[in-house]
Amino acid sequence: MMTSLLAYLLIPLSSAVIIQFLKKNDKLADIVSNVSLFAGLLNISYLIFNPQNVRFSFASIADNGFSLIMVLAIYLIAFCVSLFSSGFIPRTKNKHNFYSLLLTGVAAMCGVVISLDFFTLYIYAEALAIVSLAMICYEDNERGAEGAVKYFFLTLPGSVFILTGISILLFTAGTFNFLNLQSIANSGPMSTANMVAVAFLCIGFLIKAGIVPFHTWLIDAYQGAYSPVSAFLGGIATKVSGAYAIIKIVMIFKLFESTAGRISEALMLLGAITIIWGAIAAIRQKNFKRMLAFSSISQTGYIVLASGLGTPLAVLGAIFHLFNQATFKGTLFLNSASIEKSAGTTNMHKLANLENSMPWTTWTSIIALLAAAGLPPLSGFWSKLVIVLALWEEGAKGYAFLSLFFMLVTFAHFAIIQKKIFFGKKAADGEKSREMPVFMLLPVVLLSMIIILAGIFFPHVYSFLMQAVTRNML
Amino acid sequence: MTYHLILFAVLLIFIMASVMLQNLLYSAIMLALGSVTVSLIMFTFSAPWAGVFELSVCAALLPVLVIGTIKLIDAGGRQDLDEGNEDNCGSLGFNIQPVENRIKFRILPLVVSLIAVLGWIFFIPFFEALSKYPYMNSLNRDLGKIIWAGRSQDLIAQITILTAIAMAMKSILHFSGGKNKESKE
Repeated sequence: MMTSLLAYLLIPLSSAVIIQFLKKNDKLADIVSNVSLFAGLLNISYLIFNPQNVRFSFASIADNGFSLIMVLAIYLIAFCVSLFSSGFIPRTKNKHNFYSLLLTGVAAMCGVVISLDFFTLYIYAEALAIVSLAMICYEDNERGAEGAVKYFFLTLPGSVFILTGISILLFTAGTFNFLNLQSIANSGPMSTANMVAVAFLCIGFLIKAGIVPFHTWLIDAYQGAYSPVSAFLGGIATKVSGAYAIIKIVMIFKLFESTAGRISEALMLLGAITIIWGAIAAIRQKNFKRMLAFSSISQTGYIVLASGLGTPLAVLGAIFHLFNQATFKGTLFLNSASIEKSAGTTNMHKLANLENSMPWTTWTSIIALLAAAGLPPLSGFWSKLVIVLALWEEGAKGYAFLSLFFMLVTFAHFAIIQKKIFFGKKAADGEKSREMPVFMLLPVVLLSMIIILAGIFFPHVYSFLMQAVTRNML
Repeated sequence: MTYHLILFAVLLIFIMASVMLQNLLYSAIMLALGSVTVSLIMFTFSAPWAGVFELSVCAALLPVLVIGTIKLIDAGGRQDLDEGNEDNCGSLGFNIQPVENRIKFRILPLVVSLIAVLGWIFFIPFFEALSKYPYMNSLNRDLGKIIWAGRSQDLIAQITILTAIAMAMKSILHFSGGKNKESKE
C-alpha cells in the first residue's frame, strides 16, 4: 500500500467513527463529514494540479498518477454526495449513520486504489461491498431491500471468482504483489495457470462492475437505493470495485501484448456487448433513474472495451472515461434525486418543462447528458475520441465504428429525453416542482464545471494521464 | 482419498441441511457441524493451524453468536405475541416462524452442491497440475510470508473491514428496530 496516500484512507475512517458519537447533533455530523471530505478534495487537487506540476507536464509527481486521479474522483463524488445529502436527508432519517457509511466507503475505496497487491485490494473491495449493501437498504422500503438482496447474492460469485484467482496466483507465482507480478509477466510468455488466474480475476471484477451479462443486480440496486446513495454507487463505488480493478489487471499483465490474447479479446467483446445492450435498454426505460442505470452500464462498456484493447492510448482513454463517468453520472443521479424530491416522481412520462421551475437542475443535467453522449468540447467527447482512435490505430475498426455509432444513438436518445423532461409541454408533476436550495445545487454545479474544464483543458489532462500510464505500463 | 470423499459428502449433507431446515436453531447447529467437518478436512490436509482456527471460530464462536441472536429474536417475538402485535415476530423485524413451501429455496443450494461436486472432480487434477510450477517445487515456500510479510498495512485493511461491518450492522439494525418501535406506537 502506498504509505504516502494513507492519510486519504485514515482521515475519513476516523471521521466515520467520530460521527457515531454525534448522533444527537446532526448539524455537527454535517460539518464533520463535509469538512473532512472537502479538506481531502482540496489537498489531492493541489497535490496533482499545483503550478509546478503543470509547468513540468506532471513529470514531477512521484506517486502513481492512476491512484492519484482515482483518489481525486472518490473525494470529488463523496464530497458532492455528502454536501447534497446534508440538505436532502431529513433529521428523522439517522443522518449520522448515512455519513458514517459514506465515509467508511470512501476509506475502503481509497484502500482499493492505493493497494499494491491483489489480496489487500480484495479486502478493501469487500469492505466497500459491505458498505454498499448497507447503503442500498438505507431507506427502509421494499425496493431498497430487493436491491440489497440482489446486490448481495449476484455479486457474491464475483468474490468467489476473485478469491479463486488469487489462490491460483499463490500457487503459480507465489506473490500477490503488483510489481512482482508485473516482472513475472514481463519475463516471458504467460503460463496457462497464470492465464486461468487472470481470467478468474477478470470475471470476478466484471461481475462487480455490472458488465453484461452480469448486470442484473445493478439496475435494481441503483433504482431501489435511496437517491443520494444511487449517486454514490453510480458515480464512483461500482467503478472502483470493478472497472478500476480491470484496468489495473490490464496494466499489470499487459494482456494485449502477452499470450493472454484470448482474455483481451473476451474483454473487448463483453465491452462491446455491454455498450449495445446498455444503450438499447436505456432507450426503452420510462423511469429516469432506471434509464441512468442502463446508461451507466453502457458507459462502463467503453471502459472495458478500451481495457481489453490494452494499448497505452486505450488505457489512457479508459482511465479518463472512468473519471468522466464519475462526474457526469454523479451529476445526473444527484439531479434525479432533486427531481424526485421536487416533482415527486422520476417517471419521464409525468415530467415536462422542468426548465421553467428548475433551471439549474435542468442545465447541469443537460451538460452531463451531452458529456455522456460525447459532444465536443465536453470531457466525455475526449475520452470517447481517445478510445475510438486507439481502436482504429490497432486495426479494431469494427469496434471503432460500433463505438461511434452508439455514441450517436446515445446522443439522439439524450436529445429526446432533454426535450421531453426539461422543455416540452407542461405536465402536472412538472408544475409543482421547485428548484433546490443553493447548497444542494453547489455539488452539481461543481461537477458540471469540472466536466467543462476537463474538456477545455484536455491537453493538460492528457499530459497527466500519459505520465500515469507510461509509468505503470512501460 | 476415501476418507476425504466421505468427509466431503458429510459436509455437503450438513451444509444443505443448514440451508433447507425450516427451524433457524437447527439450521445454526447444522452450520456448526458443517464447520467441524471442514476443520476435519483441514486436519487431514496437514493444515492443523487452519483446522484449529476453523474449529474454534467457525464451529464454536460463530454458532454461539448466531444461536444467541436467534434466542433474542425469539424472545422479542414472544413478547410481541403476548402484547398482541402478531405482525412483529421479533425485535429485529424478522419472521422466524417456519415458512411453508420452501421448494424454490432448495433449488439454489442444490445447484451450488452440484457445482461443488463438479469442482471437486475437475479442480483436483488442475491443482495437482499446479504443483509442477517452480514456486510449488521451491523448498522455501512459506504461505505466511507471502500473505503477511509480502504485503504492508494489512492491519489497516482489517480495521477498515471491521469498521465497515460495524457501521453496516448499526445502520441495518437501526431501521429494523425503528420500524418495530413505530408499529408499536
